[in-house]
Amino acid sequence: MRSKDSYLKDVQLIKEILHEQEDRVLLRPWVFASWAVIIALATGASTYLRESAGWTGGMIAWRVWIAAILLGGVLETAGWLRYLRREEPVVLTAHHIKLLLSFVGVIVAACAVVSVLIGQGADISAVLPMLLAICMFILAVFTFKSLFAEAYALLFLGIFLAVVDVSPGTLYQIAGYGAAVVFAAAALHTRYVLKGRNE
Amino acid sequence: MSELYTRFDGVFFEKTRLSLLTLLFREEKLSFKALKSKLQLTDGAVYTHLEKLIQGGYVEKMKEAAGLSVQTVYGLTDFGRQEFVAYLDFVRSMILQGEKT
Repeated sequence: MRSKDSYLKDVQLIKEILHEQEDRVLLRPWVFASWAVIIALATGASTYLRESAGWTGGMIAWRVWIAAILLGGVLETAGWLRYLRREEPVVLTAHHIKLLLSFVGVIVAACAVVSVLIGQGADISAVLPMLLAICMFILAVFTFKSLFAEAYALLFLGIFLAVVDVSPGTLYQIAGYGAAVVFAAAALHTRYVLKGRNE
Repeated sequence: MSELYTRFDGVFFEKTRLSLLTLLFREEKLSFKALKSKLQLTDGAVYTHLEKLIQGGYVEKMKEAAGLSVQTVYGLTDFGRQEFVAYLDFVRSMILQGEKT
């Protein structure tokens, strides 16, 4: 017969495997770092262009932010493709399909709310960190749970900006640079988690 | 209890096979590469243990989209899932029995 210790080792092994599966790292630190740099540069460039070259909000949205989002999107897609190549996950399980349907719905609804707010002339500096927070919350569900820290940081940044009484220009810069700092923190956090697992 | 002991003996009392079954219990389906990378084993070790689990009726393989192509993926059979749960009950009873004695 086996000893009690060997059964305890089995339980420990099962717990470790389940924990690692629950807390897996999907995107590598460079993806978060790329977003941090892109958001910081776009915030800086748009502030400069509005103040020095007289660009309007519409020009900045189309020429700076759309370009920034496209560049970030391409880099993030590369990060996901590398993950697919590295792990070769089965993507169409019943569980994944349910999660994806739910999250696509949440993102589309959130984007619709933001576009309605923009249409009504609202200052979106407070809303965008919250939109980024929704994306981070969704990613945290799929990946390691301590990433919820960055998701909540973005949420609180948005709430803070919604209640604080400062000029629109300052609000815009706090939102942009604040989001960049949170993404940089996510990059360092992910690196720390990977290092802890010798990956 | 000894009947249960021999029933679980060949499959569950081996670390790699127990690890494979745990991963497949949690993940529904996994590709060969995913199993290999998660357990940090060689191709040969994963293949040998998977074949034993397939022969025992615990695991089945099928072709599905995984990563960027269609590949052979592995999942637990209904029997494998039932046996894994039964093994957890068995381990719990063994530990409790050990505590009483």
